[in-house]
Amino acid sequence: MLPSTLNYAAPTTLGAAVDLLATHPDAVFTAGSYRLLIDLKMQRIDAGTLVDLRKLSELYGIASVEDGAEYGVEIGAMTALSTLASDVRLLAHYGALAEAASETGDAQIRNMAALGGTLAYDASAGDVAAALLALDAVIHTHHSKGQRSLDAADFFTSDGKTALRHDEIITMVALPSTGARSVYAKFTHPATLEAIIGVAAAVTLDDAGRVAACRLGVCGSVAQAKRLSAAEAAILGGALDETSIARAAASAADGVEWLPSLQASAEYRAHRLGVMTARALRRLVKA
Amino acid sequence: MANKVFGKPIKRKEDPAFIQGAAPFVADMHLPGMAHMEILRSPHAHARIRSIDTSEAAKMPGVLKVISGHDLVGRMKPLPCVWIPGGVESHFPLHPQDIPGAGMPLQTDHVRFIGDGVAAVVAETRYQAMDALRAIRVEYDVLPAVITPEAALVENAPLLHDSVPGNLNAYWTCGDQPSTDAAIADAEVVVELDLLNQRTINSPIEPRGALATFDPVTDEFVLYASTQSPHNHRLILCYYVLNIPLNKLRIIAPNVGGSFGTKGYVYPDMPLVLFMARELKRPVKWQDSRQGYMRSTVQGRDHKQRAVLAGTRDGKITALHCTSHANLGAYPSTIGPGVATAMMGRSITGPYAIPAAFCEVYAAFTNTVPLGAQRGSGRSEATFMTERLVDLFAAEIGMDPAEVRRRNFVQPGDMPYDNGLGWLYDSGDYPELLERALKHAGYDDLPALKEEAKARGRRMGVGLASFVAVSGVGPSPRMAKEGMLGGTWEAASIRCEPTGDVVATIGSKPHGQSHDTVFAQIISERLGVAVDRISIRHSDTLGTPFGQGSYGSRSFSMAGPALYLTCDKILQKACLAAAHKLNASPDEMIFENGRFYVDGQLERGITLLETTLALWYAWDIPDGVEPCLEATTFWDAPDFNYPSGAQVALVEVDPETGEVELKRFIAVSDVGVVGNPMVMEGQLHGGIVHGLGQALFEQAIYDADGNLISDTLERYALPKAAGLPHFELDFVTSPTPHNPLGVKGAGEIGTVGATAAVGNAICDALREYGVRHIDMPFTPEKVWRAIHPHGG
Ligand SMILES: Cc1cc2nc3c(=O)[nH]c(=O)nc-3n(C[C@H](O)[C@H](O)[C@H](O)COP(=O)(O)OP(=O)(O)OC[C@H]3O[C@@H](n4cnc5c(N)ncnc54)[C@H](O)[C@@H]3O)c2cc1C
Repeated sequence: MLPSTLNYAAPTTLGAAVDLLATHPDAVFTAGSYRLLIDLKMQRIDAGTLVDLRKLSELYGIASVEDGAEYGVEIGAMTALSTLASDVRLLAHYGALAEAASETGDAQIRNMAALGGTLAYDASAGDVAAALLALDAVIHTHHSKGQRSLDAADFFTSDGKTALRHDEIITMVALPSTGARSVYAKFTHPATLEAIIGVAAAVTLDDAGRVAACRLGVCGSVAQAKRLSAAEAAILGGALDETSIARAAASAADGVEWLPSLQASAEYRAHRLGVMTARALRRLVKA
Repeated sequence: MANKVFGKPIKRKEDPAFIQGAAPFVADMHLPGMAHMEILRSPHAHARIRSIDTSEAAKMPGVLKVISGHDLVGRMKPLPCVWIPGGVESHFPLHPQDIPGAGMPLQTDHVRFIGDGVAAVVAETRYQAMDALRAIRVEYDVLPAVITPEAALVENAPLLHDSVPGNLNAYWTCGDQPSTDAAIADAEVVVELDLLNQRTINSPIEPRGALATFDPVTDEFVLYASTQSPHNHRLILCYYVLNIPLNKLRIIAPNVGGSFGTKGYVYPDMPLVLFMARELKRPVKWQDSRQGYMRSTVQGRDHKQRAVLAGTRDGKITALHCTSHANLGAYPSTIGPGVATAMMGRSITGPYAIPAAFCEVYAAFTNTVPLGAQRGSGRSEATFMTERLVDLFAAEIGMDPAEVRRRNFVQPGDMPYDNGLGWLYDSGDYPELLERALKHAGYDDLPALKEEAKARGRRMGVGLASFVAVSGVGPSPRMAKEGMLGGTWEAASIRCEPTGDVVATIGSKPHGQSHDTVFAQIISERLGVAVDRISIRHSDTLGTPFGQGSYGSRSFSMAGPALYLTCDKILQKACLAAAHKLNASPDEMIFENGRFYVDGQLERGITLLETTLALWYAWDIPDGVEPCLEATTFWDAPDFNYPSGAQVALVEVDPETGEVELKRFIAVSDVGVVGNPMVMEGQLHGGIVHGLGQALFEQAIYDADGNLISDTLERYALPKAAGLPHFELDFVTSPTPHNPLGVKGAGEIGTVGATAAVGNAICDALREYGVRHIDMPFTPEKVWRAIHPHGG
């Protein structure tokens, strides 16, 4: 059940939003409110003030950045996942993120959930986490003492949370141009629809068909969303073929720490991560 | 004569209100002065209560009353259990009226499951009541818990009820044990199977709620509750629990948002809100949450079966033996023990002529949420077991599973057929059902499709399920033998208004079955009155005749005939009045299209409306005929009815991951005569999904201490429409001779075969890996482990 009283504010500037959090220890940001309302109902959190980010228009939208040879996109933190799922630039150049967004929850959730809300709340569990790792994303924030930008690899912390401070707002996620092709694969929890395992793979092949660069990210029921460095090493520099893919699959689960799950044992998840990694990489061989 | 309205797919009258959110549920109701009740429930599955201190809670803001079980002693009796295992010795918690008890609404010294109530608070707001719950101090001595019936039945197991030695509610049997054992001993082929038909949690959209008012001047109560059986519950609450005159309690079930078997029980909250309303002289409402619902409302299935099927090398089944341990939970729910025994045990032979069959059930109490009926109860558990065994038998003798079924079906010409376990099948064409299902599936072409799937790295499997599902509870004398403490007839009244409108009142109540539409179709067909001029009134014990409730697929085949026969009475009386008006003899009257006329003289007639008016004015009606046009029928069926079906599931399994994809699902059903095909398809779709849910996703998980781990919808997975294929439906019609409409139950028929069809399909897909059986739910990991018993 929802708490009987709640304070609510919908600031129109970033500064005001950050100030409200800095001055109210019981305040929380809210974006799409999908998680927040459930947590309030289940009495998992004890928030007294909701600071709604929906009036911060500068946090919406996907912008192309062309700066000399540099090309990339900047995604406002309030952009809905459904927007990411259908954006032609993402579909063409950042497939893993478009796919992760389109695999998130169901249509209603994708329409409401914001990229920032997903990153802040779901953290390592969220589908987009693996994609942002694979795409080398940089997460930009505002807080009461200033601004920062965090590499995706530093954003997801080993306790399953994020590096965000209490009064810190995610403002934007920047994706650099890498020329890699990328995909996302998901093993879905039948009840929550969340990822039991999500794997994103981004691979750049050189003219000879060798793997010039690769990044693999895992998310889901893991202690920490992170790069699969052993699997990356297994394919880097060589041809992307069944032999190297099999090596990558065999080492995919190295160093992955699984959270308890009623749905699948750690042993099964480790196996499945290997299968999913192999299948993701196969998609990058073809086409 | 061809039907004009009955049997036509007209749109549901009830939908506009639901679609627009205009149909109120208990949760939507607010009465002036209404206070809110919350129940404190045990956090332990098994414990002694050392002390309860409610003094702090009583001082909390807004709190009006706090009670513990001690405050009820002498003022309320235990809930009763009214369907017990028939014909055998059984043991129950006690009830002072010498009937089986089902525990007090709040416990005083001993809690037996995690939802057991220990105290209740009423406050001005729901929030205040919840806050006050946290201020109640209860000291417990935690006891060891037993979660499974096998564990409950071992010597010196923790005892739940002093009056139930060894936790055994009943040892119940049906069939012929010696001949079954002998046939198995002599058999050419014997296949065995141990399986757990897992416990499931019914998940209707609406959790339960109850709202009571009390009038201190008249001593009258009104209870608004999400119940399937308002009349029965009124009787039980007045007579067995609260000691109040029957005519002082009126129960209204507003719209009920699904039930699937869970709302046919008297729950502690019902007497508690009535008690509190009287204490406080204010309306008192209790509304459950989803999590509360999952922890305290009856759960389903939960049979641990050990089964043996014997047969010949040429595919004849000669014997079937089943030993089942049924988990009743901590208390007998209102009708739980009957469901756990007869509904499963008598159903195990399914559509097959099996010369020797025997079933024994050990029904035991454990420290889990009480067990009740779940859509297809008993029959679904029986069907899954038998249909899995038939496939194992087919594999053992190297015969096509369809052929084995063909060789064993009860034939249409054998009807009525005594299955040897207590059911007398009424009508049906089991071979035809299967042949049609196979044809729709393209059964002969499936081997090629399997090859094609294999080439893609997948394995395709096809699973058949043939079944019979007794429905339409039922003939009262028969149900008495079956252990039902009450009649199971139905009642209906029809009143023709002087305006041409018709009002029917029925004892049955809907929670999704479309009574308003389909029952109006019966009347419309018979009386020639447009469906939108007919109102079907139900769900309020004031102004409707007593009825037993909607469960066991019974409303259409029990209340439907009651209405149909009432139409006869209406027409007989109207005929007398019409003949009088026309100066003709009643024998000459023909009734057609809502009008009486003299045989052979079409123009010499009078409409039903004119006749109704004449009877209403009563200025000139025949001698011996009473004014007004109104009639009532109380109807008891001569026997049950037996809908049947054949279902085919086509799955693809990914052997690398164990992921199962349901590609096609075909259901050919025989529900007798169909009243409204659109409603029927809706019932089938819902029913099939229910079975698929159990097959693929659902499982109530308890830890060793009796905590329910899967107590939210984040942990208890339900099927989702987006993940299911289009269902391919077809019908065969064998009217039942057991009611004048020829209709059979249809609410559960979709569910009964679906688990078996999917289970058989998955095992078929995994044949090359030597997989014999997997217990439900067929999660990817379980399937993967079956393929790779030694891990990856
Ligand atoms: C039924 C269901 C299924 C789901 N399935 C999936 C799934 O399959 N995959 C998946 O990845 N996710 C899934 N989700 C989560 C969903 O995608 C979102 O992650 C979630 O709704 C949070 O996003 P929101 O915009 O609604 O945030 P809110 O609920 O509004 O906010 C959650 C918290 O995030 C913080 N926050 C929000 N925005 C910001 C910001 N800009 N900066 C800093 N902090 C912020 C706040 O602290 C806030 O309390 C599911 C959610 C539900 C309810």
